[in-house]
Amino acid sequence: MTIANIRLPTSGGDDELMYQEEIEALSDSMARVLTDECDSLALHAYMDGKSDLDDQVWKRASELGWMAAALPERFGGMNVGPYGLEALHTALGRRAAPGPFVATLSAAQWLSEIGPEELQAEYLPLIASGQLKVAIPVAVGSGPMLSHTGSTLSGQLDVLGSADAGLIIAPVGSGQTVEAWALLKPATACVTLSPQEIWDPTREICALHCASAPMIALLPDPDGNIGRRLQRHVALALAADSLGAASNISAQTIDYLKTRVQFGRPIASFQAIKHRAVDMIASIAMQRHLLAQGVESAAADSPDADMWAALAKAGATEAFAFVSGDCIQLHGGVGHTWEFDPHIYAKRARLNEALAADNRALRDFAATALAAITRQGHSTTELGI
Amino acid sequence: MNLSYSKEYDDYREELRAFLAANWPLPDSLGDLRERTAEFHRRAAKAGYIFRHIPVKYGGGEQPLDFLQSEIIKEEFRRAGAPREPEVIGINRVIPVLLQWGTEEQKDFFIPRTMSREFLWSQGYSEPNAGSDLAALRTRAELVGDKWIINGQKVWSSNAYKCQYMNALVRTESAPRHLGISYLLIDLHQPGIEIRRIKQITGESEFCEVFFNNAEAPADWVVGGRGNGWAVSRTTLRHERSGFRSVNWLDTILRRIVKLARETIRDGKPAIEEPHLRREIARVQARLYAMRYSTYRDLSMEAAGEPSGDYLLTQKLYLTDTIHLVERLTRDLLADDYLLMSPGEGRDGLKGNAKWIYNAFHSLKIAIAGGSSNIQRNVVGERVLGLPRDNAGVGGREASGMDQ
Repeated sequence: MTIANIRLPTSGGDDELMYQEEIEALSDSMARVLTDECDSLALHAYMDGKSDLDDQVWKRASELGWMAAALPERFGGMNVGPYGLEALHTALGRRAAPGPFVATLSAAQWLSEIGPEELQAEYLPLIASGQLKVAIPVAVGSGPMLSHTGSTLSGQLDVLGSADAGLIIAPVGSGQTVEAWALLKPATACVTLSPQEIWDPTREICALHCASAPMIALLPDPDGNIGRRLQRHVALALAADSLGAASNISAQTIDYLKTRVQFGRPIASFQAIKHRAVDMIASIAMQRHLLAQGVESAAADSPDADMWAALAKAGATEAFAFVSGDCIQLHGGVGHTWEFDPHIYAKRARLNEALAADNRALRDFAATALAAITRQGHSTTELGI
Repeated sequence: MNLSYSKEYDDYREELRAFLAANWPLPDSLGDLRERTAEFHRRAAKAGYIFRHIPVKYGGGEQPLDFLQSEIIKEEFRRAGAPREPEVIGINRVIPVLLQWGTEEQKDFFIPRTMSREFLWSQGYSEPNAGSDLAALRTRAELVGDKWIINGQKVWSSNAYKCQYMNALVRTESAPRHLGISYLLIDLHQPGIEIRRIKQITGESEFCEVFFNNAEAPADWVVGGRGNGWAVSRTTLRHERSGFRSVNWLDTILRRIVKLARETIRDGKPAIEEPHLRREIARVQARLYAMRYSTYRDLSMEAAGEPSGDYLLTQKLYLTDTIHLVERLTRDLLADDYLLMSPGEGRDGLKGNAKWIYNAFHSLKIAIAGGSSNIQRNVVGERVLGLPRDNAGVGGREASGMDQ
């Protein structure tokens, strides 16, 4: 038994019980496939520009129906919803798998929950089959937005997703607040995606340029609900990705501590090292519970769901940043080399932390949401328990 | 503690300012930046402002120990933007060792050309199985006739691929652990040495593995006597007050962070108006002040001939933790840019914010370089607090890393 495989108890909502077997099967199958195809060697080959691992993983994911799993049955999905997404992102994060999964899966779930039926009918089956990749803004609900002139959009912002994305989701507004969300397709000269160089070798960020770009659809968002719903799913995805990744790199590091000998004994036998290892595991375990809370309330679409998602993202990404940094240090000299894995996870952690929304802003939002909910007469013990 | 300088030192400062105004920058007609820097250093050494620990006969400044002058020199060089003494292995590690332990032949041969940077040095201490536990090192040198024959491997030797010489710790005696180690100078350009660069997480490859396969060194290139390598390697630069160096560096970083915080606009106002950020900046600033005044106090005590306190030993730990705080602050401030900046092929040519982020990743190594934080805590626990050494699998003394 390794730490990485311990299943922590969840809060056991109805949906989860219903789909427990499906989710476990999905989880196991993903773990097996990714362990085979997305192991350390494969990841390094991809980082060194020698393979198209991202396309390979995407292809397998499509064949095995991972993109469809969370979606309602009428779109070809297994309806495992946020619970299934948690399992998916945890497994992908564990292996630091490349590919536009966070963007595509979050956008798909979002569209299935708030989108007009015509858009759902047109795009969800394509996403479910893996034929369509989606790009979303790196900052959801803040940051640059496109401006709307007549029937076209102009402007630029950075998006999370691959350069071959077939669908782009972008915020539209006057510059201060987001007024609407647009769906766009890449088109020569007026909608272009240019890959940007970033520290994290396992994800892609592109600069989106729009010059009088036509749009497929524009979803007005006067209350900000639509934007918040997208943020909810991206937040939960990043949290799950972070905890899966943190579990794996900390388990690998603990194995290293047991084998590395100095002063005539495994360095894991030194108390200071033991304590650091435990601190890592403890922080992951704590955040798992918070994520489970976020997933359950998202699945039930309860009024506090956005609050929990925000807290889960902030907490999990910070824990991952802490764990991955410590994993570098616990490896000693080799932790600072390209050849070993800790830096891959440290870079992924720092990107996760910076994506979607600033963690301080998320906590401010959660505090405001908590205040609003308690003013409605709910006590904190009633929230989600 | 009187924090102001006396008139004597104020006059010294004025003289130095006049020197700097007259000698830096030098006109382009004197050559490229490297040549102008070398010429400036020659003049500064002659005037006693740099290489103060090195005798004049080797081209040094040869000055008596005076920490206050050293501090003034650092401040004024920084103010004038003048190039400081290069902080490289040759100057900082090898020359002090040679001055204290070297034979006249060794000093004459190595010191002047190390100062002129003709000789570049790479340090060969760590090995794959001897990191924190350096005394476990296994690279051997055997005396055969008038040569040492060297076999083994070193790792983490920065810049070995572009250096001429290595200062190495090798095992020459049958005595165990640190007792059997000698400090040996080795010419890296020979058939018995293979150097392999190691790529780091920042994308550069400055670290090296160095393999010795019947490599050779002259018998008289041992420094300080056979089996004495451990003591020799612990020679520190007497004039080195790393306390000040770190404090000045942190000070510069903090000023840049404050500047960045003022210039970055978030939610329509300067980031520096955010309460959380202000708290974090204040935290770093408080630590900086604590370090600065601890260093002054330590210095004052030493200048007064009193035994200095334990600040120096805990300083590295404090510094390491402070640097981590600075890294987090950088991350907070550069949030969006952090996503996007990439290492490229290393540090050269990085501009603006990209350089910050590079530094942030680089700062992670500070907790390891120069002795991991865990070993540092052992050192402090045992030397300062008198805590008993760890029980061991292999003898009590050795297990804690304290081989003295």
